[in-house]
Amino acid sequence: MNPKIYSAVSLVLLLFILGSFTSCGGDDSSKLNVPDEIEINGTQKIHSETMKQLVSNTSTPIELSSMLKNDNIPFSKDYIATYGNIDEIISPNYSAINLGILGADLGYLNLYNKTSSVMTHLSDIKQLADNINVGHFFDFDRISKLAKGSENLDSLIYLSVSNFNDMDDYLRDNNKTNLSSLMITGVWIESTYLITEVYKNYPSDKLAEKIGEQKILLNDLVLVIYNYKDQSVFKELVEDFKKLKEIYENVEITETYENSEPVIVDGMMKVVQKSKSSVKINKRQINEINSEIHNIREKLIKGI
Amino acid sequence: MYKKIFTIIILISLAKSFAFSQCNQKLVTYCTSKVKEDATFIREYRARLTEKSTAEIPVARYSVLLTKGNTYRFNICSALDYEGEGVIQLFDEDQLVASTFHTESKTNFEGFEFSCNKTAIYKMYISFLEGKEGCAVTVLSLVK
Repeated sequence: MNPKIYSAVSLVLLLFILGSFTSCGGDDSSKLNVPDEIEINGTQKIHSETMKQLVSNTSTPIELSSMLKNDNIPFSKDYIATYGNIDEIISPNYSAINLGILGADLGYLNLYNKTSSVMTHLSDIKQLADNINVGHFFDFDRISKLAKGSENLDSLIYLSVSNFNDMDDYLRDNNKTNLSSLMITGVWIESTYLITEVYKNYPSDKLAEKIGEQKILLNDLVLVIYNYKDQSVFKELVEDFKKLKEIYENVEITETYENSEPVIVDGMMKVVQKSKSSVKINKRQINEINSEIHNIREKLIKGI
Repeated sequence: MYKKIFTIIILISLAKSFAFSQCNQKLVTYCTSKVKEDATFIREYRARLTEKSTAEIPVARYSVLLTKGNTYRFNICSALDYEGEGVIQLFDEDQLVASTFHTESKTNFEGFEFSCNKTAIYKMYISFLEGKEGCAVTVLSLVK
């Protein structure tokens, strides 16, 4: 090779490498405009760091929907929340909780590849997200494209879940844990509604156990909701969840502990947990849970 | 001779730059892209910790709800321009149930699979070996 050309190519490569090592001054998300703070009223009794520790994997609907699909439970649009006029939901608190509800439905729709229904949901999600100033985390255009494509299911699920996680992270990191907790509550309500509704048509011990297990997160949610009891939506949820908690008081969850040892299989560490949990729940309790959840959900969707 | 040395330096640097050395969104993108086709992405968790002069190793703490009957995959990607190598520890209450660090072989793996038989809220701790300064992304996925 000509020495001059060699030097030129090397210089270009060096410049490229130096460019890739240059700090961009933080991650890409820092380039976004940070919207105005939403005023939080009311006394916060639980420490903010504890609030941030609240379960952050809001993808429970993905796991539950995945279970339903694997068990060949047919899809039904009757399980999906329908809104008369999403424009009527404008308050930040109602927007946040309904964003959680729609997020759960989106997980269900994506898993079952119901792309036509996904499109309607996306507009509603964008609107509610905009109401609480996290709309910029929702990549509406790309998700729409993936939804229309239908062969990129994994990418669609990834992007949907990832965007919701980003919204949640932003709310927690910016002193809006009240809105984050409402989003997660919305996800929980819709997920519990889904499995109790499915149970009506396709009862099984497995599904009954899943319904009983919702008690675990409910206990945390009740503490968090009580923390903001002076705010709208939280005030009503405190009363509504009191009834739900009473029903779940009689749902028994027993745990046994046993040590598990990891094994290395094909270079990957694997642990099969030996500790176990089991749930004792009956049909009457499931019907009561379904009835309470149905009432709570209806009020929230109507913005009451 | 110098040409060869120069070429080698350029090639090594080029390879290193593609390994996502930086502690930013690119590390997140790189780590989440490693979710294989046999798993569904659930959540990513970030940790950026500085070395402390005390004996206590800095830790980033997260709560994760894991459900009985599911197998989860935890993967960690550490930014190369920091000394720290990321470690994930999963606790059920105060009992360690899984970790990327295999005590017997004293090897730190890039991840582990956890077959859950007890639905509970687990504590996930992210730290760096020997408490060194580090930046890492942990990806949690659901094995299909």
